[in-house]
Amino acid sequence: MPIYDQSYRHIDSVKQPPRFVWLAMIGVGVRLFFRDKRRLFPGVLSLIPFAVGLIGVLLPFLLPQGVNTNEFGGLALKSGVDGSTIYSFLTFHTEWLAIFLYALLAGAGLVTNDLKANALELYFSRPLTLTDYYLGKLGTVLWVMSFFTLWPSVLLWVLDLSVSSAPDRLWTQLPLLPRIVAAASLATLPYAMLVLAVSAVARSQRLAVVGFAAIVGVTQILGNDDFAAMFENDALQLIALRDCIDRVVFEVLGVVPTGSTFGILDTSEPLSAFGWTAPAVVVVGWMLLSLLVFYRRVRAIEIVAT
Amino acid sequence: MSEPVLIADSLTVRYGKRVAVDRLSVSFSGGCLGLLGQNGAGKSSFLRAALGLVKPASGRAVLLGLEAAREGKRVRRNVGYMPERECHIPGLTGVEFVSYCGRLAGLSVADARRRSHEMLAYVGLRDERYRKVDDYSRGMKQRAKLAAALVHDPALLFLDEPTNGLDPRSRREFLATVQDLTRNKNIHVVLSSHLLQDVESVANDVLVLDRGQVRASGPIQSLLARDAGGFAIKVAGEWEPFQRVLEQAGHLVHRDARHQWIVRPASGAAPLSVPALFALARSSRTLLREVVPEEETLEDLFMRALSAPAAGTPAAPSPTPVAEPR
Repeated sequence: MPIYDQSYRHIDSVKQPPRFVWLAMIGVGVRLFFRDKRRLFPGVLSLIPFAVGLIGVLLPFLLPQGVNTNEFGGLALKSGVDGSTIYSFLTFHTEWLAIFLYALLAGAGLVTNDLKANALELYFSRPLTLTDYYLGKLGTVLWVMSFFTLWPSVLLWVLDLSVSSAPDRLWTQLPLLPRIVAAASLATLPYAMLVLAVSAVARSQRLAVVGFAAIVGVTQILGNDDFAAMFENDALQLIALRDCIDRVVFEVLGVVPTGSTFGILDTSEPLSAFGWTAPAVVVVGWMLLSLLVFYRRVRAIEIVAT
Repeated sequence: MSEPVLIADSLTVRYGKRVAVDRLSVSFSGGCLGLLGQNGAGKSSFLRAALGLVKPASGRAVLLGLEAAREGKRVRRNVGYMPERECHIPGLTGVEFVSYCGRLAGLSVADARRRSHEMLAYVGLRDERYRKVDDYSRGMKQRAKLAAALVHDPALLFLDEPTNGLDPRSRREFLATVQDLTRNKNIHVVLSSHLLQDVESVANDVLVLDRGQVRASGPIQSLLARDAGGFAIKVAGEWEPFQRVLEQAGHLVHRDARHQWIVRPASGAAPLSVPALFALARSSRTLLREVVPEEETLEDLFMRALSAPAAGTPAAPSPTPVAEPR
């Protein structure tokens, strides 16, 4: 008996080339990622700075009236949400570790596993360009990371608005929202692009993990203050990708270096010896390099696969 | 006559200095086209150039009236492709996989989901659709790939070595599905294979490639030599005495795939005739029960095409026998 039956029906509607196919890729990518619930665990790392920010928001309600929140118990306290709060949240050590881990977890296998499963042929035999494919993969990593960077930041901003009694609070806080979106994107985008480039080059997911960790780790070590002092060359500090990103985020959020919140979150200016342009150039350079590596590698694979 | 489904006009594909497809010209008006050639003959490169995945060095491929190199996205919207290699998206179930392929082809979420269920049922994976594709057997993966290639309802389907590694039953079922698509569902199929029986059983046209060049193209029935010069013979009683006499007379004797005895004149020898065969049978005291002029098979055509010089760059890619039937 033949395996076919009469269930095949033609589609009646007019076929048009699809738009925004990469959105479908993001949807499936994110769903697949969170199917393994253990992957939520590193998100705990971003709870610490979030909790500190949250306390800042709720501070006026937690303390008795008339208490000066700026000098409480010898600790520097700050109420409300401003650029410094978001900066502290996005650049705190455990938060950075969460960004790093989610870049690895979400991004390291994205292209490598496609190559292993010969999935590129499936993608490119559909009405999909290399740019669509890249946007789909990049969007997947960014969307995953946004659950631990962008959305908690926006939540702090919203909570601050909702608990504030000042009538004009929305208008004074509104300009902060696009800055938050830009800063959270900047804090994650270079890592997402880098991990995709490494994933495209590596032969296995494990190698991609090692490669990405090595690049981030080595640049951080080489850009260390001590290292720069040893060689008596401050420009070496620009090698540290994390510091450069922090510097740009600092600038985007318009942070004024003041005291820290609870003495935990630091709002001192990173790479203070430089303006923001040199670190920005370094960050953009890394992003362009990552993009170039990805495009060259995936295009080459696509042709060789014939 | 309707417009050709696929036209290649002096299509050349190069990878660096290596020429994978060399000035290929062909016109396919519909039905099922068998793409034949040895490994490395340029079949996959031709398919990829036709899909607009590889930019041709020269020439052009036109599918369904759209030029592949310039309108690759629109072409791929209307064409299904089942790659030769095992490929899937890791971690997805059958229905998710096919639905995802539908989404990538531009279907809405609802349409993609509905079509994925229909297509998996159509290819015989109705009961396995919620299992992970990673856990499918080889045959099931091939069917899932076919469902993924069909999900967006293509007008033209490219199948690259679809029956590779399938057991005989799965192979027969798969080919029955392909036949159903071409004959009942009005979907044109280009079937690339090095398995001649597969092509013979489903294709109406054939394109033989060798080192990127066309060796033969056109409807199979017009390419096959009606009279291949030999005879299929059945005898009453012992065969060996007759075989000895035939071989002494310089004729070539062998058994074909259907276990028939085939007698052919040696190269350079005079053509065989029925009276001559009866004379030889008499001399060996053999009674002939059946003498039928041998018809050429696709395998014979393929071998003949490969030994013939390349077709070059024909301006009009009409069905052209590569050699005159003997």
